[in-house]
Amino acid sequence: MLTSRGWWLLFLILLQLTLGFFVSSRFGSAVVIVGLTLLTWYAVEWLQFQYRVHFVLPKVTIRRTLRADGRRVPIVWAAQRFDVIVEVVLDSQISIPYLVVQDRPPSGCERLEGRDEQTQRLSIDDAVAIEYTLRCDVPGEIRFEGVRIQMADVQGLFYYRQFRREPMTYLVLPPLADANGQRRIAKSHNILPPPGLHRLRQFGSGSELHDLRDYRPGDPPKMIAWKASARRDRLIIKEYESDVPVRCTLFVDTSPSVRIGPSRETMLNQVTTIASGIAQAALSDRDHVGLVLFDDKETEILAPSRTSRHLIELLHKLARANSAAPLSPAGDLEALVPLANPLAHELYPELMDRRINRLPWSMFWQPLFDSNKVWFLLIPLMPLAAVVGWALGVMVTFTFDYTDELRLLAGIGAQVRDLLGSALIPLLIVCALAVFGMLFWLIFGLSGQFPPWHTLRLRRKRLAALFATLDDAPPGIDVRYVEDDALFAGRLQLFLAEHHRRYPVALYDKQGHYLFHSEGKIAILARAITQATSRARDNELFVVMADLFELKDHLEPLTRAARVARARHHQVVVICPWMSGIPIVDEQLDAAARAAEFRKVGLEAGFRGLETQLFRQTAEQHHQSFAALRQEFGKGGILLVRAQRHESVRLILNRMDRLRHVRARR
Amino acid sequence: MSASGNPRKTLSLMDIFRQPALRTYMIIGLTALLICYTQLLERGSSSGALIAVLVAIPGLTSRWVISPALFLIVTTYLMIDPEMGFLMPIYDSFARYGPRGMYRANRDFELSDLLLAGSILVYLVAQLRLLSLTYLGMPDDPPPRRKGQPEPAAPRRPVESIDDRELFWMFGLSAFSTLLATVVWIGIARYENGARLGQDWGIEKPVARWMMFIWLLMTALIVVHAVLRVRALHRMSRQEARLMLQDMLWSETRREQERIYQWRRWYRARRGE
Repeated sequence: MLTSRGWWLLFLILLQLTLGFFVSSRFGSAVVIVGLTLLTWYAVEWLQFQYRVHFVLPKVTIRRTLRADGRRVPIVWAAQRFDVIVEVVLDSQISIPYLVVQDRPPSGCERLEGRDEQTQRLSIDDAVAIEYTLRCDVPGEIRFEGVRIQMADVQGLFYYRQFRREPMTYLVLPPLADANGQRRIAKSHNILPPPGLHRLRQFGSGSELHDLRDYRPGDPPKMIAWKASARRDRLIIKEYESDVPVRCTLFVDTSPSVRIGPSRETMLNQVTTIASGIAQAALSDRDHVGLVLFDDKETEILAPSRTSRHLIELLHKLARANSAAPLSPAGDLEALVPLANPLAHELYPELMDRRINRLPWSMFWQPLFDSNKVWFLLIPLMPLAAVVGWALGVMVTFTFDYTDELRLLAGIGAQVRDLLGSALIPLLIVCALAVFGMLFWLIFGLSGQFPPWHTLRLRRKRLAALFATLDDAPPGIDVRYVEDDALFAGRLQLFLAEHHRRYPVALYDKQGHYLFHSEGKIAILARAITQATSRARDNELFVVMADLFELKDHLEPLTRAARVARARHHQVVVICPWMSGIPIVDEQLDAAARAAEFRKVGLEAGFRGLETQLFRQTAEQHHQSFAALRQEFGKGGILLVRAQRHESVRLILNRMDRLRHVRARR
Repeated sequence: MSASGNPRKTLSLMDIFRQPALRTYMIIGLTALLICYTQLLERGSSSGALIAVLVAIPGLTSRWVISPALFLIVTTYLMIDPEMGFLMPIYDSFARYGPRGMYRANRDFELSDLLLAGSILVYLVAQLRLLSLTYLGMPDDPPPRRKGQPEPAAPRRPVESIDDRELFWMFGLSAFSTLLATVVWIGIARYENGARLGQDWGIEKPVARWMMFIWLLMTALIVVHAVLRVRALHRMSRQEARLMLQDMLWSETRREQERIYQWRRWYRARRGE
């Protein structure tokens, strides 16, 4: 509460006052009156400050709004600029003379303009307003945690810090490709039909003229072709082509394996952007688009539709899916605790406060024995106590020259020596061992007071208590967090993910096994495709966007489901998200040329020595996996392509057009 | 942008003079120093009073942060030894002239003491206010220093944060503090029972007075602290209360629970999990 300025002034005042009291009778009362005056002023200022902290500061309210294009918005779009406006209002007649308000911008956003901090006097008439501009390029969620408030008195003697926690989460929807909602440039009838297929027109309510025919009773008058009727002298009716809507279902992989990596470069980010582009383009052509989000446990289905509301819902689902961070079953505590500890102190200062979240000295004591009922080991110390007591007695009586007592003690010593005889030496050895034992016990116990054990335990206890409180967990869970590494690591990751703080994800366990295979998602995906096939009405397009690189040996259920779908005249396309940083090379190149190309890219990326070799091997392995996957899917006639934003969207739209014509012919 | 507009630039003397509010505080501080100087002169301190003023002026004009502390120390010394009898022998032969005369007061309270205390307080308030406006806005929160880079300037408080009623409050509080301190001192000095009780126990009168004052101060602090603590407990959030209770349970059952989990850990390690 006291600043350094406050401390030294208080020290000087108290020193002066004490001196004044002592010299007042000899040198007059000036010193003591000056000291008392300063102390009175100091006390009044302190009371005033305390009043502000306890009674005025709670009346400060914070309002946050997001504005884009000049109006308030509940969501934002990726790559769109938006303004954050934080208003701090005081509802009290007493003003706060100095207030520093600092907003905590969400992670993953880039600040373009403005400052997130404001310093001024806060009164009922003058609100503090912070305004700054952000842009978020990654679809998902952004989270504003709250506002950091610091207040001080007029002279800077006292200060108070508080984090006003008001978490607000906003969705960042995937970007619109352009202002027209990514409408395709090419018309459907400009695209050549695939080889072997002939276009068969069908009557319908489209916009393209199909044919003319004679009028039949019941035909709507607006369909009469007047010029043709006049020429032929009888009523002729116009017939239009049918608009054939195509249904496309997007299967998006949301398993942990696609969430790994920097937030801008995750595979999930790639597929989310592609799925969003396909959905927007297809819906602008009035085609139906559905969405199936799947991971290794469950699916989330959004049935195909073509309304704008459906599009917004679909984008919401994609953004939410893209917001979660991966959780590794083998979290590294040494990496996670230093990240979580300052974050917890920043966001939950009142719950990390030493007065509530206590750290008793005894918790750092390292117990040597499991049970504290080992006092019987102290039995050997009892004779030692007698010997020490006797020796002390001799020293005291000798020092103060108590001759009679000294003689008495000497007599007792001699009698004991005579009594024990040869057992005296072993007894003394036992005593010495007991002394060594005690020293060992003491040093072992005190070793917990030193880093790194002390620091780790301190942080862990505080964080454990915080997590137990935040979770409303049953009593005793805090001790479990302290003792169970795996549980604590999992909770730490959740905490960091909840607050959108990136953390290192352990990809391999202690035995070197890859932890993000997610084999379970193949079965889930296969079941989802089968269900979609069973619910499909006509020729449909199933677009699978999944990371299958590590699963080339487990694809059987998926290929079987895809074959069933194809047997029912549906199309299946698999888009594999491409790992960020891995170059795409010409597949016609031989192995040596490819390796040289990989080495060149690795060197350009800054890798040196062994790193280049590792990069080359990783890239090679990635390409081989992709080739194997394509071969596997090719057997069933399923197209497999790499995820490339615009090309992928265009490919899917072309496929939909093919289906449209095929459907028209049938 | 001028230095007065940028909260991270240091204010020069001219910047202070350009700002009416800052200029006012500087003039008030200098006036208080002048009063203090005359009072010290009246008490027989000539060169010492000059030293005190010379120590104080750089604080007002050029942000010398240690200036108020030095001023307090010097004036306190001059109130006891106005002619600097203890220090003069250093360069003036103590053997030839002996120590100079010490200040002798006739009564427990003199009007000049009141003026001196008031002027010192006003100077100190003006000086600290100026420092808060021209130096560190939040004294304990300097900006982080980057490795290999010079220390960045700490943010200042904006001049707009000065309230119109500040001066009124400053003078009012100074007058109130001076008068209250005088009354308290007169009360303590006149309260003979405490001093007599001290003499019965072999404690000298000034020490007895000091102890009585400390007792009063501590009592007041305990009462205020208790009130604030109760207030804080009443305002405690649900989470804080829960954590407090949970922490109590933890401290009472910690050893037993730890033992259980250590054995579980041992069992899991043995199973190879």
